[in-house]
Amino acid sequence: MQIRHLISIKHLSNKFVEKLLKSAREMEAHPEAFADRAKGKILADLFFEPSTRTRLSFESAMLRLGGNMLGFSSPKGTSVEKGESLADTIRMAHSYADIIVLRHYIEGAGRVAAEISNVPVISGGTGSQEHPTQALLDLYTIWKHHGRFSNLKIAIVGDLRYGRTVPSLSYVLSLFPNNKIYFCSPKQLRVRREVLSEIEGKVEYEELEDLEEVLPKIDVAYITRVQKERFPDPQDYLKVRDSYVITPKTLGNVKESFILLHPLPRVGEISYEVDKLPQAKYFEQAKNGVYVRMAILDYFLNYPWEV
Amino acid sequence: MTDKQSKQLIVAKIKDGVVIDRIPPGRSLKVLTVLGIDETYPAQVSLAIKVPSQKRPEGLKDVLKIANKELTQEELDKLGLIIPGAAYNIIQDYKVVKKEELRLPSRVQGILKCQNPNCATNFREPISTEFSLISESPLVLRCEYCERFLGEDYVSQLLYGR
Ligand SMILES: [Zn+2]
Repeated sequence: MQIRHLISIKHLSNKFVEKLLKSAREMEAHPEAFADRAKGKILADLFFEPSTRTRLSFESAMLRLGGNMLGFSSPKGTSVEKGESLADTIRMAHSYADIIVLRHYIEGAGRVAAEISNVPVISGGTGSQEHPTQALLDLYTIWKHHGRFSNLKIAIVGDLRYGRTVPSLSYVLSLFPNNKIYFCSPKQLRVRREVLSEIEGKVEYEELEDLEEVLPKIDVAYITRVQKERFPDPQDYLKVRDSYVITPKTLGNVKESFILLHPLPRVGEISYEVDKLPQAKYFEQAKNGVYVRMAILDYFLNYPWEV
Repeated sequence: MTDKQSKQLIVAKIKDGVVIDRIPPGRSLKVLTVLGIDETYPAQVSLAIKVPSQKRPEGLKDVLKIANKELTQEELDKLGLIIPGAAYNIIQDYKVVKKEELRLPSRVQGILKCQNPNCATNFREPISTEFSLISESPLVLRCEYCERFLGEDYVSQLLYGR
């Protein structure tokens, strides 16, 4: 079966994810072998909300595959700002490009785009809903270090209510057997019930506030940014922010194979002294993003393999 | 008094139209609101509120007879949302030609509005809303665009405007 668009992890099977990440590994090992895969092809970057990392990572991936791109990095000065609908913007983009990467603050924008577009639409994140390519590169990083997709204990930490990477990562972990997720957040930022209902019965999980109690037993800690705007009372924000700061001391008790991830950008959740520790994998995670996005673009442009 | 006798006593037969029976007691007025039937409706409407019923768990029911009325699929879906379990009969020439139980629809298209202000369906896009049924009791629907849940309180407020 061919998948036409990548707008949600929920549409993917574990077989698909495994094949995709294996293809990313090939690209990382022999990038030169894939230098012409997107030759003559154009990627349209439609970023209705700025995201430096996601956009540059997709552009780097497209360039490494020999392709080109056009688009905008913010709706400022475009027809979108004049009130054009997303549907009309997609109609324009699919006549100019062979594949679309869409980042939007509106939830459901991915589905709208997929309904309209004749070329594949890849979600680069929509509202607080999902960020599927981020979850795929997160899993790739985990796989590279632990050598497996299953039997993993993972703490997802921080803003679990509004963080768009949280649902996608939870869905991708629930595709594989015997994973366990520790959702670690302040009460007001717990995972949305919609997300829990989706993974219910597919993956074991636990909700808690204190990260330190689980640190010694987990394989991966995935830290997300807690944003000030989420708290009506600034005092609450300060309290919460300080309770989830990772320092070398916090990591004193972790397993030998433990790794620390963060979708970035970070603003203080992980202290700079942690960067040089062997457990810190967030910069490598960003680099892995390019290979995973190369594999995604190659799949949707060429359908080089089947599941 | 049986269901049959009570109906005969209180609500007269209609020649053509629909009979909605076994409505949860007291909810028939909401049904009229949802169907947009008010004093301007040109034909006979008969209503019985809280008459004895053996088939409803409450022991009571409402019965509604609307002459010269056909229900559209959209109206049936709306009724399925607010009075699941009620019976819907089509009457032609005093006879029941079709009888059906109203059920919660597994998919609701275009009737409800998503509660999430940041949902694509609340922007000017060429799409209509779509919800799927997650749970019957309590009623939970999921928006197929933004994936947020709608609860019973919100749905009834949307349907009845209060
Ligand atoms: Zn919605």
